[in-house]
Amino acid sequence: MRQALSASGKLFTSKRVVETRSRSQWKTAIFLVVAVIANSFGNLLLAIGMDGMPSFADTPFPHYVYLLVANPYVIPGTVLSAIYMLAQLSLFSWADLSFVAPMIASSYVVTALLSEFVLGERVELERWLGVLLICMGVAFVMRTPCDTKAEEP
Amino acid sequence: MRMVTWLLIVMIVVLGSAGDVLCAKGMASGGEISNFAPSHLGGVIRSIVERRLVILGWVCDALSFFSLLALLSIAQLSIAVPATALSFVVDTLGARFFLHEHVHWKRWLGVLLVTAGVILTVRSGTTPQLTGARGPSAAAVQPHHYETGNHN
Repeated sequence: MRQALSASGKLFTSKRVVETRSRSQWKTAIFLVVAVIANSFGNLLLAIGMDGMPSFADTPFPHYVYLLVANPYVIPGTVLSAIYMLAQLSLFSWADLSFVAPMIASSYVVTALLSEFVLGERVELERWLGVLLICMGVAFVMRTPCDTKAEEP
Repeated sequence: MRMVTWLLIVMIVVLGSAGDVLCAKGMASGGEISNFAPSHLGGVIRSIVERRLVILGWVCDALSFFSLLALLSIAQLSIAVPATALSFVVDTLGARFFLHEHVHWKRWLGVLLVTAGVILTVRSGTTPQLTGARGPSAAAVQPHHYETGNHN
């Protein structure tokens, strides 16, 4: 009887652990997607916005600040970059750095797709090969648990 | 490449990774952030900026970014900027030895593939890209150089 109770307790505990891990995996996946999309689009908007700015050296500082604030790309780009930073730091509060850093490299894949299909640029074969390697790398990293520090005895 | 170019690449990679390690350490030591309700967002941001290691991490990130700006002004970009992709490997070493993470061989293989992929991607890119320092502002300085870029 005691053995049966002990066994059911173990079963209950392991089920709870599995549920917690599953919830953590979903949370991690959602935060990674938010971080990657905010990073890619934030970079793109900032780059487009800064591309249209005059030279910093040739423009009076108050006017430069006004142009930055009035630029339709810079503020949304900055907000997206702040969301990226917040998502990444939140991920660090429960997931490994060695898991989060390579996973966020998926931003390069999104940037290549944006270049080809949104900006209409011709992405070179070498860059597609890079995208393929990043996808393979992310697939390998995804097969490891996101928090290995919790596994310590 | 000149000595100063190598020095700047090392500074970009090491300071960028130090920033990541410090931020990760700072965030991990304060417990998992779990409440992301909009009304609690201010509290989340406050709890982040109160962590000294995170602030120190941001200082390292800023120094890494300034080193990148210095590099962009002197280096052969088609070689120098992809070299900063090595920060993925240094990040993983930092995670292994300073944060005591268990880096499985699958994760190492993944990191090496990602590093190789990022090198290929930034070498051939003409559109806004991240750099090894993974700082968003880096995007603004890189495309112009890449348009005229292959000096090697």
